[in-house]
Order: sequence, then C-alpha cells, then structure tokens
Amino acid sequence: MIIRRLQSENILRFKKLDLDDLPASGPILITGPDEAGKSALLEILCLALFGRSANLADEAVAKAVRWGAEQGSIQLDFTVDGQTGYTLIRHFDNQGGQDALLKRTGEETPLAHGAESVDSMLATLLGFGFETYIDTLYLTQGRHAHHARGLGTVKMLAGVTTLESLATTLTQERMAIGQKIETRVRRQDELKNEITGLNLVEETLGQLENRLKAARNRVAVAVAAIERWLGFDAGVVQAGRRIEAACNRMIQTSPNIGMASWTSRCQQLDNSLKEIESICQGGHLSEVEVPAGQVRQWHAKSRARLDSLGGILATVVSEQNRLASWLGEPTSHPSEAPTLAHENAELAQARNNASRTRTHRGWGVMLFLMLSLVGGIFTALAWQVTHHPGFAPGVNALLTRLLPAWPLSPMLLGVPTVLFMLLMFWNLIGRFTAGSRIHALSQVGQTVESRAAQARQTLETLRDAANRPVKEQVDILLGMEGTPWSDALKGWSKADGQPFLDAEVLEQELCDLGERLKLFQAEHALLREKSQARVRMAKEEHAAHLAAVATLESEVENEKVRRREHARLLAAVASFENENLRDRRAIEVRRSAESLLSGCATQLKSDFLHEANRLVARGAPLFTGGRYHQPRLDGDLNLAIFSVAKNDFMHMEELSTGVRRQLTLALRLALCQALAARTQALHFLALDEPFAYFDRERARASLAALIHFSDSLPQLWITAETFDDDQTTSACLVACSVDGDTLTLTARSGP
Amino acid sequence: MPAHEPPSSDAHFRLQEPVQLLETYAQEELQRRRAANPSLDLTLHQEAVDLLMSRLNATRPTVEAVA
Repeated sequence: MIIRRLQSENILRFKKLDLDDLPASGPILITGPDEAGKSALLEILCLALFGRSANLADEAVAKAVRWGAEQGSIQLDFTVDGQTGYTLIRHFDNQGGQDALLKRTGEETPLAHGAESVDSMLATLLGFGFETYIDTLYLTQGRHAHHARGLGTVKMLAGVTTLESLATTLTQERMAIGQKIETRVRRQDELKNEITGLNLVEETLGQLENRLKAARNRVAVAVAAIERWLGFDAGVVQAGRRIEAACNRMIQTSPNIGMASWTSRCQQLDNSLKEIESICQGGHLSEVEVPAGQVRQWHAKSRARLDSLGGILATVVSEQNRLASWLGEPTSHPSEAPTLAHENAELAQARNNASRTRTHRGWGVMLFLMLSLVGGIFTALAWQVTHHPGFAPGVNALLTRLLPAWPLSPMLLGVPTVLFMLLMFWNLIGRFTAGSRIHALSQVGQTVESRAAQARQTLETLRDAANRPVKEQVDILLGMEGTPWSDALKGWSKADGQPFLDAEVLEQELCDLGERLKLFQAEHALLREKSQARVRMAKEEHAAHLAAVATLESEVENEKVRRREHARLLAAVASFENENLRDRRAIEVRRSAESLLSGCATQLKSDFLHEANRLVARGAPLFTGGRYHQPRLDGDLNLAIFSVAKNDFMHMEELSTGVRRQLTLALRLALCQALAARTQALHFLALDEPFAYFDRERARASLAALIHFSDSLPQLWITAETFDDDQTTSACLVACSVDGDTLTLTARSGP
Repeated sequence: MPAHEPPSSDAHFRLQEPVQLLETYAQEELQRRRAANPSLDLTLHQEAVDLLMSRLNATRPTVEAVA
C-alpha cells in the first residue's frame, strides 16, 4: 500500500491539510519543532485508514475533530498493487460519529459505504487490520514498545492465525458436535424410557383385532336378528289380517254358494293358516305357540267334510267326463274307452259285412243248386248209357280210348253231385245266419241310440247341477238313481254334509268359527307382544354389541397408535444412534485435523521465527553500530542478543533504552518485511521519531540504512525535529510549523 | 552491509503459505504414520486432511466479493 495523497479538513490541529503527488518510493521526511504537528500528520494517516488512532481511545475519537469545528474529514488516495488506485474518505463529527466511503479512483460507484463496510473492505484489500498496522508499519510515540500486542501480529504474519482460527473453529464444531451427541444420548435414554413405558406386547393387537372381529360378527348377527324379528312381526301382522279376512269371508258364507266358492274360501283360510304357521316355524315357535290352532281345527274339520264331498264329486265329474267323452264332446279328461261314434261305426261295419255275407251266400246257393242239378243229370245219364246194351260197348270203348282211367264206376259221378248239394245247403244256412245277424245288429243300434240319448240327458243334468249351490247339487245327484256316487253321497249327506245342507247347522258352525277367530285374535295379540319384545331385545343386544365394538375399535386404534409410537421411537433411537456414529466420526476427524493444524502451526511459527531472527540479525548491527548481533527471538517475541562489548547474550530488559529502541526498530522492520511478504504487496512505513534516542551519527546511519533497507517498503514516512541537509536532498520534505494550521504540499514543487 | 547498498534477496522475508505447508505437512505425516505401521487405517487421517483442505481452500474474501 502506497500513499499518493493525503487531505484533511479540521482534523487534529490542521484546519486544512493536503499532501499531494506524494512519491511512491523514497523517504518523506516530516520536520518541525515540538507541537508542530509531525506526529499528528501520521496520526491523520492512521485515522484515514482505520477510523481510529493509536493515541486516542476509541471512545475519544471525537477529539480527532479540530477544536472548535463540528466535523472534519480525511481523504486518502493510495495504491495497493502499484496500479489500481483507491480513494478513502472518512467524515468525523465532534460527537464521535463517523462515516466512510471507499471507491476506486476515478469511479463514482463506491466499493463500500459506511464505516463498518469500509473497514471490512479495507481488511480484505490490505490483508491486515489496525493492530497489525500498529505493530508493523506505524511506529507511534504512544505505542512504541508494546511487544505483548505483537504476538497476534506475529501469528497473523506467520500464517498461524489462519490455522489457529481454523483449529478454533474445528474445536468449537467438535464441542458443539459433542454437545449434540450428549443431547442425543440423553434424548435416547428418554426415548428408551418411553419405549419401556409403552410396555408393548406383540400379541395384544392381534388379540384385540380378533375380539373386534368377533364383536362385529355379533353386531351383524344382532342386525340380522332385528331384521328377522321385524320381518317376523310384520309377517305375523300380515298373516293375522289374512286369517281374519279369510275367517270373516268364511263366516259370511251362505248355504247358497257352490262347491267352487266353498273350496275357494276354505283354500284361502288354509293358505292364511299355512302362512302364519310358516312364519311361526321360521320364528322357531313351537306348535303350541302358533296362535291359529283353534281355527286350524275348524278348518281341518270343514276341509275334511269338503274333501269328502270333493271325492264324491270327483266321481261325478269322472262320470261326467266319461259320458262326454263317449258322446264325443270335448272334455278336459278324454277317456280311451270307445266313443259313441266308434260304436256306431262298428255297428255299421258289422251290418255291411253281414249284408255282404248274405249276398254271397245267396249266390253260392244258386251256384251249387245248378251244379247239383247238372251233376244229377250227368250221373243218371251215365248210368243209363253204360248200362244200356246198345250203347254200352261203344261208349265204353270210346271212353276207354279217350280216358285211360276209364272205366269208372258211374257211381263215382254221383259223389260231386252230393258234394255240390251239401255246399248248396251250407250256403243256404249261411245266408240265413247273415240275415239273422243283420236283424240283431239293427236292434243293437237302436239300443246304442237309446243309451246316447240317456247319456246326453245325464250329462246335461250333471252340468246343470255343477253350477248350482251345494245343497241343490247334492239333491240333484241324490235324485239320480243307479249312479256310482249314490251310496257315498247318501252317506255323506247324512253325516258330514249337514253343514252344507242344513242352514241351521251351517250357522252353528260359522258361529263356532267366529268364536275361534276371537280366540285367535287374542293369541295373535300375545304373539305380537312376544315378537315386539324380541325386536326390542335384539335391538338392545345390538346396541350392547355396538358399544363393545366402539370400545374395541378405540382400544385397537390406541394400540395401533402405541405401536406407531413404538416404531417411531425405535426409529428415532436408531436415527440418533446413526447420527451419533456419524458425529463421533466427525469429532475424531476434527481431532485429527486439529492435531495436524497444531503440528503445522508449530512448524510455521518455528520457520517464521527462524526467518525473523535472520532479518533481525541483518538489521540489528545496522542500528547498533555493530555492537549487537546474533539475536535470539523466542516464540513470545522475547529477544536476546549477543553483546560484543560484554561478550554475552543479553535480554532486552538488561539493555539501555536507546539500544532497546534500536533493536525494536530492527524487529519492527523484520515484521514489516514479513507483512509485505504475507500480503505480497509494497507498503509505506510510518515512523514517528524513530531516532529519538539515537545519537546524531547513529541517527544518520540508521536513516541511510532505512532508505535502502527493503524494496518491499519503498515509501518511508519519518518524522524528526531536524534532518541534515544532505539527508533532505533527494527526499520529499514536509515542514511543519507551530503557528500554522494549514499544511499544503505538492511534493514535486515543495510546500 | 553498507547502508546505501541495495537489498539482496536475503532481505526478503521468506514466508510459507499455510495451506501449502499444511498440505506438505499432512502428506509427510501420512507417510510417517504409514511407514510406522503399514497396516494402519489412515482413512481418518485422510478425512481430516480433506476437511482441512476444503476449509482452507474455501472461497477467500476478495474485494469484489466483499463489495
């Protein structure tokens, strides 16, 4: 860092200060009597750079503003790498407030604005801070011997600070990680206690779920029972109504209804009774509990009577069907027996056959009569010729010649004739027989017609009777003599048939049914009460099972929550364990790293001290006139040096003030070179009265040595009350006066 | 040395970069430990070196970055 221009207004004792066009290398010698402002000038430089002074406490920085002024400012132009120029402006007020701005020279946009931002930016830009500046580049009267504070600078310059800072960071991280581990371990213990406290039993959830399943099944059974009993109750009500309706219909029965109506009513009652019996059977009621027993008995009796009549009427219907079928009328149950038409056809066929036979026989009689006559004639002729003396020989000879079998006996000719006669008589008999059969068939036909007429009349009577009330029907049927049902019907009418035939008996029967109906209604009411009680009971069971299910569901859910919590706790413990393993490894890694840093820092520091010793050894003889050499600088910057005069190594406190300042200057220069090396930049050096305790020759020699001491410290700001003329010849001279409060300098032209 | 004589190379303070020195030191330490016990697991050491290098080589502040 090289200063190119320093300006201020109302800072310290200067109302206005402007040192412009300062040389980048070479001495800038500041002279003047005491209180002329030499030290103030270097202090202004320090205020410009860091906003604080080596001679003013931080809280007293308001005193930097010139007495009587409210505010002051400093503007500093400098280069860092020899090319890029920067302008730093600081404003102070007499209340201790300050503001700052840093920008590249020639640019309007600031790099940083505000004291803190500018300080941070400068630390980055320069590579060092206020303390290091005081320990190296700025020798001030106020702090010329503060070795204790130089240790930090040494560490920084040696590079140890970087490593120690990292080591500190790693240590803090390690401690923080260790605390995390401890926290996790405590938390793990807490979690393990929670896990133990859960007292989770593996089988519990399964047992609860099984119990819940069973409870749900009971609920389903209860629901089914409710539905069943509700259905039972509804069925009982419905069946009861039907029985009442059937009974009432039956009670309203009059004697003038037909068999079909009787059967229908009885069947309706039977159906309604079967319905309630079925419902009661479904409700697992015993036979005794079925309320329609009395009605059922009445129905059974009536049914038996009706069935008895029905069996008789079935015979009637069968006969009716038989007659209809015989007559050839359409019927629901056609008979396979021959019909009237069939019988008539057969009779006609028989008559035809008989007639044809009689004709054939007549022709047979005629034929065989003729043959008999011819045969008789021939037989007589043969007898006469063969026995006639005149014709007998000739005829016999002729016949013998014609017929080898001749001579036959003439009696033989009579045999066919007799045969023909017999056949004639056979035919004659046959013809007579056929005539007789034709006559007989005619009589049979008349009989059939008579039977058909009777059958039609019977059929009509039966059909008419079927459509009448039972009593009339029975009377009609009883009036038909010789029928298949006569005896059975007579027996029925005297016994079971009374209610159907006698109005008084029927009324008694129906009254009986009415009484039985009342009994049924009472029993039915009881049955309904039972069924409704069962519905209530089923509902109560259902509610109880539902409550049990709710309880078990809650228990299952709680158990699941407990299991999830258990799993979560286990996972958390495992996670903590993994994290602890990872962090323990991290701690080990950091310990190892800290060990490496420590070893490396020791080596760095050792190397740095070795190099510092080398450079102090180079500077000490220059500033002590060769009376001291071979310095030994320890890690605490305690310096021992070999005294030629005393032929021994001496510590700083054993030396005179002048020698101590000479050796301290040598040490400072070594640190400044280290700073230049560390920041890899050229720097100015500001020394306030460095030769105050030097004798004149020693001061001259030291100044000469300083100017060429190091090319990394090209710009030297040195204050002294006076400089020799030869020393100022090639230097930039800044002369301060006690009276003036304005100092303006253009270096090339001089003040 | 005469006062007006230009500074020699010995006048410069020879400093080591801590990062470079640490890298060298860590490698030497690694080799030393390996030589002492060839079967030693040096994973931890290597992890420590990696950690240090990553931290030290982390972005250093620049004027532009700070700005």
